[in-house]
Amino acid sequence: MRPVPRSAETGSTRSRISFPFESDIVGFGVYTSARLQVSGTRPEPSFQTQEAVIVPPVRNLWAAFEAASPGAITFITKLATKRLLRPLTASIEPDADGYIAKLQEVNLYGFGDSRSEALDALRRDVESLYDDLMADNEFTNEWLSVKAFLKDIIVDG
Amino acid sequence: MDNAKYDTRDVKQCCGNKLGIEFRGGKEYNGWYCLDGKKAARITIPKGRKPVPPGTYKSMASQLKLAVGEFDNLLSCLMTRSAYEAKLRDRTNRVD
Repeated sequence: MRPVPRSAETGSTRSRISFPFESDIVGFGVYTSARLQVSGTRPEPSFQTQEAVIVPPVRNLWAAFEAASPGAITFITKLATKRLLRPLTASIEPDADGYIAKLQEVNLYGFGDSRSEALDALRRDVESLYDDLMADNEFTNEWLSVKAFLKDIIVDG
Repeated sequence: MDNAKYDTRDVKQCCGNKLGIEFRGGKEYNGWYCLDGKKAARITIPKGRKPVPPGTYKSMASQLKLAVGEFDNLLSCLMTRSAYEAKLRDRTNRVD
């Protein structure tokens, strides 16, 4: 395995990890900015320690992003009766006294009293649309493209 | 936006009576609008919301390929089925 360069070899003057991690995320009209800082004693470099250092800031960044954004983005990875081969992206936002979850890839939405109910409604609609599209081919080209897209990522059972 | 005037049953009734959309039951209502024998627009209507929440209202309009003002007109009887069909044909042809 290729040795990970130590600070002495790279000429770095830092003996402790201290790196401000700043990122701007722009997507689907949602904007947030988070600044996270991690500090601690530098561990011996290994796969596990690198993962331990890198993963928590990413998790923290995602949590900060979700909390700060009004239309939080989430991923749908499961459906009730079908399997998803790739996740779908949904945004969830307040809508009157409930929440609306909108799918980014296809013009579908789900409404519910809570975020999870809205997401469940959206999941049901994805499955319902899939079933509709698989029933026949009497659709406009736009819907035939949606059919091809869903056929690629949804598996029955 | 006239969402406050309607509940979801009104929207379903209008889509059924005016546009001839047949809804399938379930936890939400789903129905297709057919143009020239092909399914061209699909609308989802949640059950029992009075009045229709604004985001939901916009989403229903968008599923019928209408702007919110046009959807207001559809529900308030200002827009006829043939006027809707002309708009949908134009917008479907643009996509197709």
